[in-house]
Amino acid sequence: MEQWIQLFIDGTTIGGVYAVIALGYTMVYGVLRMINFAHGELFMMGAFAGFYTLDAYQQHSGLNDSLPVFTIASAIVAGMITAVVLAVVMERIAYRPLRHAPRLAPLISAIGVSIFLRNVMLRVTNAEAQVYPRVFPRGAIEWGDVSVSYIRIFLLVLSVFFLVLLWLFIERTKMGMSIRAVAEDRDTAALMGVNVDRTIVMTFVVGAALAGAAGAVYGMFVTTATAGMGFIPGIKAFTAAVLGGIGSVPGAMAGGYFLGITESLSTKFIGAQYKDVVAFVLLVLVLIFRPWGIFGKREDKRA
Amino acid sequence: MMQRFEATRALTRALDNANARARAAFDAIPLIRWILPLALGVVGALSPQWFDTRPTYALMVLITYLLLRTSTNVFGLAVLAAMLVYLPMEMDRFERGILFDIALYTMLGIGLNIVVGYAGLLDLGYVAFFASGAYIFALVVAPEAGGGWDIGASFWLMIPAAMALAAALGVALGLPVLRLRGDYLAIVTLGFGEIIRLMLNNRDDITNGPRGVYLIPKAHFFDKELTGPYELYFLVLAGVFIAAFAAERIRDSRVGRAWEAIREDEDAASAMGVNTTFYKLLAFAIGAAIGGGGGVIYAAKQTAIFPRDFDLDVSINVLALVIIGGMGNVRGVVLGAMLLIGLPEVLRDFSIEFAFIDLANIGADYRLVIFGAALVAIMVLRPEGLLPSRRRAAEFEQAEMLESELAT
Amino acid sequence: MPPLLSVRNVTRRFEGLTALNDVSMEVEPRTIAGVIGPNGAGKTTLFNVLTGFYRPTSGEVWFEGRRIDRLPLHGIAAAGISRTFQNIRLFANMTAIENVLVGQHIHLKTNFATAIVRPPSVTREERSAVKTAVELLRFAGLTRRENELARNLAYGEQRRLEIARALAVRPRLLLLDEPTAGMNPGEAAGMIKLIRALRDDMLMTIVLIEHSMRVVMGVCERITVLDHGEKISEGRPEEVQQDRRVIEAYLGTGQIITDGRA
Ligand SMILES: Nc1ncnc2c1ncn2[C@@H]1O[C@H](COP(=O)(O)OP(=O)(O)OP(=O)(O)O)[C@@H](O)[C@H]1O
Ligand SMILES: [Mg+2]
Repeated sequence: MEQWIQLFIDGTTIGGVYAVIALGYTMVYGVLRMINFAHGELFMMGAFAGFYTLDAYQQHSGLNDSLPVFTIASAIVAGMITAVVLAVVMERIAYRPLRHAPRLAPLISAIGVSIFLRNVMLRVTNAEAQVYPRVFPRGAIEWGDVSVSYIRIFLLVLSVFFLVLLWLFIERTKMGMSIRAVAEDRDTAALMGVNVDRTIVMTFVVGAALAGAAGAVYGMFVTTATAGMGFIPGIKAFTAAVLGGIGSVPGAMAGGYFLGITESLSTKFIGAQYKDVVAFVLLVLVLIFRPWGIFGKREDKRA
Repeated sequence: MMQRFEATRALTRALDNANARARAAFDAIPLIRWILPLALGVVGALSPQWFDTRPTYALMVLITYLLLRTSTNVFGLAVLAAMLVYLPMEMDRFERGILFDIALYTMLGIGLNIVVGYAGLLDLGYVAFFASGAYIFALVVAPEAGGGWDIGASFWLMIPAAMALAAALGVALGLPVLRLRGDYLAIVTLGFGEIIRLMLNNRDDITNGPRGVYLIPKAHFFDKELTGPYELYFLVLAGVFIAAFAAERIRDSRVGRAWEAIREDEDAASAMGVNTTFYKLLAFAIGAAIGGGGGVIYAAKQTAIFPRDFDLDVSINVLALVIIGGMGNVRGVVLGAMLLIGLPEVLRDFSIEFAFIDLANIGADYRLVIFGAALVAIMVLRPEGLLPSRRRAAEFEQAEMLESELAT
Repeated sequence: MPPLLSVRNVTRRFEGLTALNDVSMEVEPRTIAGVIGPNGAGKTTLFNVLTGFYRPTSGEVWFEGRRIDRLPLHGIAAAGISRTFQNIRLFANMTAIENVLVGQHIHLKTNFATAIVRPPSVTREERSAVKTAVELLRFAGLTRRENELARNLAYGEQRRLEIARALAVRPRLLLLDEPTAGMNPGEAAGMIKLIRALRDDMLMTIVLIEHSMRVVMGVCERITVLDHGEKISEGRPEEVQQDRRVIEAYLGTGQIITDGRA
C-alpha cells in the first residue's frame, strides 16, 4: 500500500509539470491548429532563466536563508518573462507570416525555432550542464515508508496553483473567452469583434508563461539545466495534451497527471530505462485508437 | 492609446514590406541564371586546385542550383553527372566524407519525398527505416553480434533483403496510423522513430545496446574492397540515380496520380475508387525501402553503428532538406541535401575576423544556430522551397490568394 | 424490372440529431430520380450513406442485388456508383485531364513496378486513358480546357469537370449533389441539357439533389421529398407538387417552391 502511495505521489509530481507544459501545446493547437514544436524549448529557456537568476543571487549575496522565498519567486518570474518574450517574438517572426500557408510550413518553421534555441543555449553553456544552486532545504516529510521531499511538495502545490490560475483565466476573463471563441471558430470570432491577432498572441503568452515557470521549477527539482532538456518533457507534455484530447484545457491537465502516474508505475514494474518507451507507446496507442483523446469527444467526418 | 496602435501597425506594415522585398529579390535571381553558371563553370574547369576550399563549395551549390533550376534538358544533367564523378577525385578524405553524406542524404531525401511530397504524409520518424536497414545488415554480418556470415557476395544480397525488411516494417508501422490526420501522423511517426532508437538502446541482448555493433566487414565489388567514403560514394550515387529514376517514373504514373489525389482531397479520391490505405502504405513501403537501402550503405561505410546515430535529428534533417529544396521534386532534394548537409560541414572552418570582432570558429560553433534560423527564414520567405515542383508552386499560390482575399 | 438501387429503412443519427429517419426509396434503371427538401433536410446525408461516407445507424442499402452499406469508401466506386459533391471537391491543383484520369483509376492496371519498368503495355494503357479522358471532357463541354488546373476553371466548368470525373468511373448509378447550385440561368440550362444527355446518350441512371423545383420538374421522372430527415412525399413531379405536406415544409422555410433557394 505504502509503495503504491509513493508511486502515486512521485507520478503526480512530474505529472503536474507535464500538465503545466501541456497547456501551452493544447491552447496553441486550439487557436492555430498547429503543433508548436518549439514549446519544449520555451520550457528549457525558462529553466535557464531560473538558473541565471539563482546564480546571480548566489554570486551577489549568497543563498543562506533556509528557504529564500523571494529568490525562488523571482527565479520563477524570470523564467516566465523569458519564455513570454521569446514566444511573442517567435509568433511574430516565425509563425504569423505562415498562418495561411499549408500546414507543413509552420511546423518546419517551428522545428527551426526549436533547433535555433537549443543550439544557442548549447553555445552559451559550452554544452555543459549548469548546476542549480541549492535553494530548497534537504529533507522530506516521512509517513511510514512514504517519503516526499520538500521540493516535490512545492512542485505539487505550485502546479495545482498554476492550473487553477489558468482555469480561472480561461473561464472568467474576457481574454479567456476570446481564446475559447477563436479556438471554436476563428472566422466567426473575428466577425463578432474578437481581435484574433491579439488573442493568438495572448495564447502564446499564457502558454509560454506556464512553460517558463515549469522550466524554472523543474530546474530546481532536477538541479540542472541543459540545452537539450526541453525535448523529452516537451514530447511528454505533448503526449499529455493528446491523451486529454488536444485542444482541451481540462484534458491537458488530466492527461499530464495520467502520464506522470503511468510513468511512475512503469518505472517500478517495467524498468526505468523503458520509462520513455512507455510514454511513446502510450502516445502512439492513443493516437491510433482514440485520436480525439481519452477524455475528448469524437468528431465525425463530413462530405 | 491610438498612437500606440498606429505605431504597431506601421511596424507590421514595414515588416510585411521587407518580407515582400526579400521575396522579390529572391525571385530576381533567374535574371542572372545564364551568365553566372557559365562563368563559374569556365573558372571551375580551368582551376582544379580550387576544389579544396570553401568558396568552391559555395560555387558548386550555386551551379547546381542554377542547373537544376533552369535545365530540364539532358545537357544540364550531364554536366551535373560529370561534376559528381569528377569532384571526388580532386578531394581529400574529409571532403569526400562530406560528399558521401550529401549523396546519402539525397537518397534518404528521395525516399522521404515519396512519403511527404508525393503522398502528403508527414513522417517525422523516417530514421526508423534508415536504422532498421543499418542494423539488419550489421547484425547479420558483424561477427560480434553472432551473425558474422561470410560477407563476400552477400553484401549485394543484403541490400535488397534489408530494403524488403524495411518496407515490411514500413507497412507494419503504417497500417495502424495511416488514417490519422496530418500532424497527428507526424507525432506518431516521431514516436515510432524514438521507440525504435530506445529499443536499439535497451535490448542489448540483441543489439549490443549503446555499445553499438562494430567490426562490420567491408563490402567487395568483385575483387575490390569497398573501403572508405570514396568507393562507397559511388555506390550511394548509384543508389541516388536509381531511386530518383524510380521515384519520378512512379510519380508520373497512375500510382503517382493516386497519391496526388489523396494529397489533394482524400475523401474525393476514395470516392473515385482509390484505395487510400493501400496507396499510403505503398508510399510508406517504398520510402522505407529506400531508407533501408541507405542504412545498409551507411553501416558498410561506418563499420560501426550505435543507437545514437539514429536519433530524431536524422529524421528532422531529411525532412528539412526535402522541404527546403522544394517538396515533391527530386531536384529540390539534391539542392536541399547540398545546403543542409554540406553547408554546415563546410562552415566548420569558417571564421570571421573583422575589426575588433573575432568570431573564430563561428562556423563550427554556430552552424546549427544558423541552420535553425535558416529553416525559419526559408519557410517565411519561400514556403514552397527553393525548387518546388510545378504543382507545389500552384498549391502555395493558392494559399496566398486565399490569404490576400482574407486580408481584404 | 427490379430496382437498381434500393434504400431500406435507413436511419442515421448524429449525437442527438436524426439526419435521416427510416427513409426508404427505390431507383429504376435508366431514370432520373430527384431528391428535394429544405436546407438541412438530410439530402446530402443520404448521398453520404449511399457512397459509404457514413454508415447507416440502422437500415440497409442494396445496389444491383448486393448489399453495399458495409463496403469501404473505395469499394462503392468499384461496385458501380459515383458522385459529385455539393461543395465542389475537385483535385484543385491537378489539371482537368488529370482529374478525369484519377476517375479512371479502377479501370487501369499500372502498379508501382510496371510504372518503373514502363513496358509497352503501360504506355499503351496511358495513351488510351488520356484519349478516354479527352472524350469525356468534350462530352462535358470542356473542350480545350484539358490542361487547365481545376482551380483555375470557372465555377460552372468546375461543376462539369466533377461530372466528367464521376463518369470516368464508368458508374451504373450517378449521384449529383445540387449540380446547378450557384449557376446563372444560362449555365443551369446547359447543365440540365448535359444531365438529359447522360440518360439518353449514355444510358445512365441518375439521382440528383436539387433545390430548384424548376430543374427537378424538368428532368426527373420521380421525386422523393425529405424534411427533417423524414421522407414526407414521393411520386411523379406533378403529384409531389400538389402534396400538402410538401408545400407546408417549403412554406415553413420561406423558400419559394417553384424557384429554388434565395
Ligand atoms: N457529420 C455530421 N455531424 C453532425 N451533424 C451532421 C453531420 N452531417 C450532417 N449533419 C446534420 O444533418 C442534417 C442534415 O444535413 P444535410 O447536409 O444532409 O442537409 P441537406 O438536406 O443536404 O441540406 P442543404 O440543402 O443545406 O445541402 C443537418 O442538420 C446537418 O447539420
Ligand atoms: Mg446538401
